[in-house]
Order: sequence, then structure tokens, then C-alpha cells
Amino acid sequence: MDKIDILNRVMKTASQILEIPEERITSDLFINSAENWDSLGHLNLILAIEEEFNVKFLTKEIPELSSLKIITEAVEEKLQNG
Amino acid sequence: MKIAILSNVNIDILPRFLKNESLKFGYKIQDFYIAGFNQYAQEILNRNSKIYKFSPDILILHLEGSTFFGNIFFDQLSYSNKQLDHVLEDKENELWQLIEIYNKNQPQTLIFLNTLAVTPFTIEGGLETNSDIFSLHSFGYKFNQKMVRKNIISNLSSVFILNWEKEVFYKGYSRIYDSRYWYLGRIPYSNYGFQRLSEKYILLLNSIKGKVKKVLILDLDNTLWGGIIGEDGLENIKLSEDGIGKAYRDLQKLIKSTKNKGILLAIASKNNLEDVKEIFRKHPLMILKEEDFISIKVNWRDKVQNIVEIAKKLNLGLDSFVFIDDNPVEREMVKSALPDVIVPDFPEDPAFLVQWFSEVSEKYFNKTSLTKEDRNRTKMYKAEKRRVKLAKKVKTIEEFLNSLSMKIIIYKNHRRMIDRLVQLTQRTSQFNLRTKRYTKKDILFFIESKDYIVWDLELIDKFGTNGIVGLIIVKLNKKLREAFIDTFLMSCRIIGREAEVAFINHLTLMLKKMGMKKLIGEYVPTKKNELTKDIYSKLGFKKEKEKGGIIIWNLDLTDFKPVFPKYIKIEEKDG
Repeated sequence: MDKIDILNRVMKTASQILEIPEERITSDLFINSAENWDSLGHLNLILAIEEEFNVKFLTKEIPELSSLKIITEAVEEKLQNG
Repeated sequence: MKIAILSNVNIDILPRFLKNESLKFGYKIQDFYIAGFNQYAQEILNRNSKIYKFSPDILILHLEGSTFFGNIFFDQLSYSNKQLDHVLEDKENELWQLIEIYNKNQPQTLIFLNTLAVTPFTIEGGLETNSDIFSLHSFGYKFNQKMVRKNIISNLSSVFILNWEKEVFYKGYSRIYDSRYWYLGRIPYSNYGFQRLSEKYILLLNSIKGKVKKVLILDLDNTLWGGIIGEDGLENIKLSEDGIGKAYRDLQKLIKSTKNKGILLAIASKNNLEDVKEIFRKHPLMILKEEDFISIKVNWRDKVQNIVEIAKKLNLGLDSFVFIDDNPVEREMVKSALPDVIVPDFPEDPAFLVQWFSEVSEKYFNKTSLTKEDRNRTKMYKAEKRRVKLAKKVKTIEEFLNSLSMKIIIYKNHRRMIDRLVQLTQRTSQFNLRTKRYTKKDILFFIESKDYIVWDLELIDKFGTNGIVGLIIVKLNKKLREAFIDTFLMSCRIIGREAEVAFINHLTLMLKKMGMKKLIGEYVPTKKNELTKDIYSKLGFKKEKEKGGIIIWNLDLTDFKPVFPKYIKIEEKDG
């Protein structure tokens, strides 16, 4: 799965969880820049990302996944390295 | 449907999981309301809080165990056992007071509680069960037992308890809970945990709404025993007390219990009938017997055909059926030909039959109450078969009715059988004059109100009881000396016996004794109840007016002389 695929799936998940129409999602979207991406929305989003890609982040990593771009990179890293 | 969620932890993300689950069963959730973190008590106690304005159909009050007892958990050695018992009682009373207050304010809302699951990550170890030390676990279990007990004896018919503790035990605490999200945001569960929790709530809702399947159709070979009787014969099929044969025996035990819950069993198997009968009559380890089944279709015809025939004979829709077969080809055929029939997948390894069947049971045969009807359903169906046989033998209807030796018992305000009365209002569509669907709460109200009387009818004949098959709810206007028939329904299984004539006629006598002068009935047309359009006329009522299909009928009780059907004896009993 290449980076573009991952990014697309991340954006789709973000659209569903944060209840933002897909057209308005970009890879630049970051925490607190959208109404539903507050601290609770963030945890909800990462939970869904973990489910979507079947990956697990460490507790300390979760708050650092602060934009869709960073999330995509982190997911890619997990999928490559396990 | 509007759902409100209150909790002592953060389950704010539950709605998206509930939405997913609810779609599978056809529920539409319009809106959610979630109160602030751990604000459940304040939300209920404050009469002006948002939850009362929201007025939900369902309130999920979800309590997480360790947090609920949190304040004593880390301090337990400071408490004596006596003090801990007090804490237990206080916490129980606290919770029930909240429930009672909420229920009083919003009596129409269903309240979902849950048994508490408590963290196993403690250090008590062997002390827990071998010493006098306080154990969070036994505390949790005691609390749950008391809560269940209290719910059963309380009069709150809209409170239901989800057995969350059992689910956590079943699936594993480590899979359901997720410490990472707990510490980051007081979110207790993993994705998997939220999925389990939401599915459980929806299945609970199903069972409350009576969305239960009625018939289980079973294959035989490699389903109720290992092997194929046509090839292996009685001696070699796997059905035993040891080895894998025990798995099939255990499955049969579960299926038999399911029958005792009120589910009807049938067989659809491609076999020689003689071979099958031999197994039932001669195999010493069969748990299920021929008499446990209301239909045994053993032939070489297409199973789809057999299932359709069974449905026709039972006069039930195909959406009441669950079909179980080990053969994926058979399953696929039934699934595509009869999309309304539920066809669960079958485990490849028989070692997992018991686990699998318990899950099938929870999805499709789940109940929150058990009536006398349920326990005797198979027996009653068989008696019905004998009646049908008799009807075919006799030459006239008169002869048939006469030979049945019928007796009806009319009960007044039959509190004990309230679940059956509710069931009747929810399920009867044909002989139902006004098709008013009631909940347990409604029927309780009618029973307790001085302005209403609830009468139900049990029909017994020489083959046994038909159970409670008729219901009349009357509203009294004592000033005008008029009685209005709010509900008049009869189960379709006894249409044609004239029981409704005996029922209404007897009630006219009772109402007259109470000083009533006029009895009013109303026919409200639906797609299914056309057969009742003129029933009041047949019973001696006069048509008063008709508008938009709705007909109002009147009976002058002062000069009405009821004519009772001669084949039916009548008895009265207080509920």
C-alpha cells in the first residue's frame, strides 16, 4: 500500500469521524483546526485510524499525531516496520 | 428514535458504534444526547437539565465498575467489612433513587442499566478468596446481584439490565478495555469494546421489542450429530459422552433449552425417514426427541420447498425462521431463494458448536421475559395439530365445536400474566378492532386504573389449553354509565370457535351489574383486520356512525339479552 492510498484512507476516515464532507478534507487538516477535532475528536479519530489500518500507537505517540499528514506518515511507518 | 447517554466515564464516541449496529436491525436513530463527563447524577436530579428537554426514547445509563467504586478501591484497607457493606448498600440506593426519579419524570423512556465489570488488574491475588480482605471483585459481584434482584422485584417495567460483566468475562477484559485511551481521555474501551457494547445494547432492544425469531429449522447430519446416518448408521455417527461426539450432544442440550424458551423446532433433512426415526427411537444418547419438533420434514426434496411448507402450515412469515445447516451449498440455496430466512454460518470445527449456538441464540432468540405460553409453546402447537385432525374427521362445524368440550376462563386485571397481555397487543393484527399496541407500562396502568378494566380469556378444550387468546380493555364513564371498548382482540389461532361471542356476551352481563347502560365499540380499519369489520353487528350492536372507514357501534345494555354459544362453558377468575 503506497503513501497515496494511505493518505486517501486517512482522509476518508477523518471525514467520517469528524463529520466533515470529503471535499473539504485536505492533508493539511490539523488538530483544533476543525470544529470536531478537539481533544475528544482526536482520540475518536486515532481510535478509528487504528481500526482502519490495524495498527497500534503508543500512548505517548497518540497526542503527537496532530495532522492528517503526520498520521499518514506514522501509519506508513507502522505498516512497514510493524 | 432518540437515545440519551449518561455515564460515569467517557463513552461519548458510543453513538457512531450504536448507529452502525442499529442499521443492521432496521432501527433509525434520529438523535443522540450525551451529558457532560460523570454528570449522570446531576443531569437526572436537575429538573431543568437538557436530558428532560431532549426526552429520549431510550436512556443508556452506562456505569463503569472500577470508577463507580473508585473512591474505595485504593483505600480498601481503611474500611472494615461492615463499613464496606454499608458502602455497597449506599451505592445501590443512590443508583435506584436516581432511576426512580428519572422514571417518574419521564415514564415513557426505556432505561438501560448494565452489570458492572471491575478491573482484574489488582494485587490481592490469593488473598481475595482465602482471606478476609476486601475484594473489589466480590464487591462488584455482590453489587450486580443486588441490582438484578432489585430490578426484578421493583415495579419499574421500563428498566432493563444489560449483562455487560458477562460479556467482558466472555470476550476478555484485555480485548474490551484499552488503557491508553483511558489515561488519555477516560475512554474505557477499545474499538472492539465499543463494538461489543453497542451490539449488546441493540440486541437488548430487540428482545424488549419482541423482535425474536419463532422457529428454528435444523438439518440433521453433521449438525445434530457427527457423520451421515445413511452412510455411518446408528452405531457410527458421532454422538457420545466422550470425544467430539460430546460437542453434538452439548449442542442438542442447548437446542432443547431453546425450545423450552418458547422457540419452535423443526427438521428439514435429506434422508430416509426410517433411518431418522431409528436414531430418535434407538440411539441412547439423543437429547432431542421426535416430540420436541413441531414439524419433521425428512425427504429427498429441495429444502427450500420444505421450509416454505413448514411456514405455510404454521401460518408464519418466513421472517420468523432461522435455518441451520452444516452444508454451505444448502445454506446458499436457502439464502438466495428465501432472503427473509436467517441462515447463520456454521462452524467448520464442531468443537465450537456450543459457543457458536449461544451467539446465534443471543442474536435471534433473545428474550427478557418468559411467559407460561413460551414454556408450553411446542405442546400447544401439537394440541392444535390434533384439533385440526379432529376438524378434518367430523362432518360439520357444529360437530367439531361440540366435540371439543370447550371452556373459557375470563380473568379480570390479570397482573400475573401481564407479559402475555402485552405480547397479544403487540402481535395480534387480524382479529384486532382498534390495533392499539401497548407496552407493559400501559397495561399496568389500565390494570391499576379505576377507570379501566382489563379482561382476558383463556380457552381450554379437551386437547389442553390454548393459552390466553383474547383481550378486552374497557374504559368506564361512570357518570354517563357508558363503557368504551378500547381494545378487543382475539388470537388468530382460535378464530372460528365462537369464543369472542361468549367473551363479549359475558362482559355485557358484568358491565350491566356494574350499572353500565351503554357499551360502545369502534372498528378502525387496517390492512389486516378486515375480518372484524362487522363483528359488532354479529354480536348485536347497532351501527351509530361511520366516517373515513371508522365505524362506531352501540349496544344498549339495559335491554340486551345475550345468547351464549352452547358449546362453551364460561368461568370467571380474578387476575
